[in-house]
Amino acid sequence: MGRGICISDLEQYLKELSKTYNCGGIWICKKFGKRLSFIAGVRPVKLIPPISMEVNKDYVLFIEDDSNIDENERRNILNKIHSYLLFS
Amino acid sequence: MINVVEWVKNRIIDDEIERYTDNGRDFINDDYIESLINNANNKKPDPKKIRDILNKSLAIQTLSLEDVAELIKVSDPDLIEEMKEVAHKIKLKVYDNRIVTFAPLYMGNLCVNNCLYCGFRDDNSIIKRRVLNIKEIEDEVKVLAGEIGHKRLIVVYGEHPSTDVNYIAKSLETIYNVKVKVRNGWGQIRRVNVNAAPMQIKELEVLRDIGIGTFQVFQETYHKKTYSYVHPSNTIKGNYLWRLYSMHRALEAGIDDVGIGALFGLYDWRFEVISLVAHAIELEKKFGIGPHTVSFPRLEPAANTPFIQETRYRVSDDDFKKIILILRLAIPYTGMILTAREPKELRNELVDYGITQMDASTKIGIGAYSDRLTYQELEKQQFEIGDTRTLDELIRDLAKKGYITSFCTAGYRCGRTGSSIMDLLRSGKEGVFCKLNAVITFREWLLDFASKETEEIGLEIINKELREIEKRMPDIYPKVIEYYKRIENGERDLYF
Ligand code: SF4
Repeated sequence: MGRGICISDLEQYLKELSKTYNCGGIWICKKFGKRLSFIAGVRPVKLIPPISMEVNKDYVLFIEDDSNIDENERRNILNKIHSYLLFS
Repeated sequence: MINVVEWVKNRIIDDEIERYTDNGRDFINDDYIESLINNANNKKPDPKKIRDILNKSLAIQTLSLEDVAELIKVSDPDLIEEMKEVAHKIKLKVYDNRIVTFAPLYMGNLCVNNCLYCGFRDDNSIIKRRVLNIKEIEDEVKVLAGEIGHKRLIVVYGEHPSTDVNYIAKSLETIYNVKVKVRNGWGQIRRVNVNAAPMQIKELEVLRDIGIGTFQVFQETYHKKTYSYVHPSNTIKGNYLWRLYSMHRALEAGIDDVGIGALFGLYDWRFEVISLVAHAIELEKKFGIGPHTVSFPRLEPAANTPFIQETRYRVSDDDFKKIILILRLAIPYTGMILTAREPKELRNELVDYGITQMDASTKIGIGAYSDRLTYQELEKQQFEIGDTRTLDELIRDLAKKGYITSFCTAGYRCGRTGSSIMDLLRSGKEGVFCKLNAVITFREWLLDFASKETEEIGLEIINKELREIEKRMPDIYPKVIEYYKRIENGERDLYF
């Protein structure tokens, strides 16, 4: 699968998450040392400090508001994002 | 033992130039830019047209080269005043009333090039040559992060095998690893920007993986004839296009914050201003990412460098003010760096023109921070600096003018980089982060490093900012206060 297709699928998925959970900004960054470069997602909306969580050793997920996401859903979301990134 | 001649021979990769040209043509059209300038000489500007252009700037749109040529024509004091007001408004909209501070750190002064205007040129025999070793880099950073309180550096390297990509990578790692106990917390450099020679894509990928901040390469002059004259053709730097496409390679390598600049005084300033805008437009067109910063250093005296006295293009203070104003209006989203090359009085005035970053406690001699030199040694420096204020003094002077100093390095640590930050800057959202992070990081600095006098005036500014946040952003305000208290209780490095 081409990189472009996967990243846009991931982008779409993150947009849906933002709507479903009303989490505002939700985006994926790739880690380069201290630097975290934006890869895909919904950019900050609520302008509050985002919560960050590791997808794997190379990628981090940022969510502005995760109060509507329970532990189980969070795990599923991270797994799904991980699989998108595996093919990118 | 490195063979310098061999090293020099293998620096330039033709394919890493040609792949970016448009049918063999680069994006600086000298004849067209000259024609715009000649036209600017002949006709008076139409105030209505100028106001239309200012409206574009206010909407955070990049101006066209023709728009820039129109702005260059303006000499009417009332119109200049309007331009200043708009420049100031743009700055507030995009970055709020904060100034980010940094320090330059020169890592070595060995260079294989022979630029006529530079004190470090290879054939300048009076320069004392030196490259910092790892221990010396640590010593410099301990002073910068532990005594002065800097969080952000621009590290500067000459083009030489002793400061090649491996050295740069090692030095960046070293800088990021220094952590120093300070008054109430700890000091550490959180963002390292790099000013170095043009690099190959695979080298840039090495720097990307280390976690570089911004990668800067200044074209010096965009005017091809002048470029050839001041950069001898038998040097690496003599290759205009290798340098011109440095930022293309950086962006292709995944470094998505890049800084462009020109050295004003080598050729007609109007040509350089139009070309800087052309460079920004080219990057936006090809990568969707404009320059993170623009720099506009003026030529300054350097040891044993007569070219500087001889050039007929030295830029007057009045023209320099116009340069900054036009660049602010032309590339409204970009960061603008005003360095301590310029004297204190001028910097105090120019800060109102939309400047976003300034250096302080600046020393540009190799090893000069830990040597604790209180004077300038020209034979160890690239040029002479004009503003010798300490960081504490600069912050106090900025506060007196109503500016808050920000030590924020949040953007590149949570993905507000590249095309993402472009959108946030254009929409004014980044300005909100700037305001919040300025308050949090400034409080941290006041607690750890400020003199009593600076702390007093600093707290006044913070209180004013907090009142504004409460009024304008009531939803976020409780979170800001929570962070603020956590900082006062000894936590460090919190950000929005
Ligand atoms: S300007 Fe840069 S490349 Fe040129 S001689 Fe000086 S240090 Fe070397």
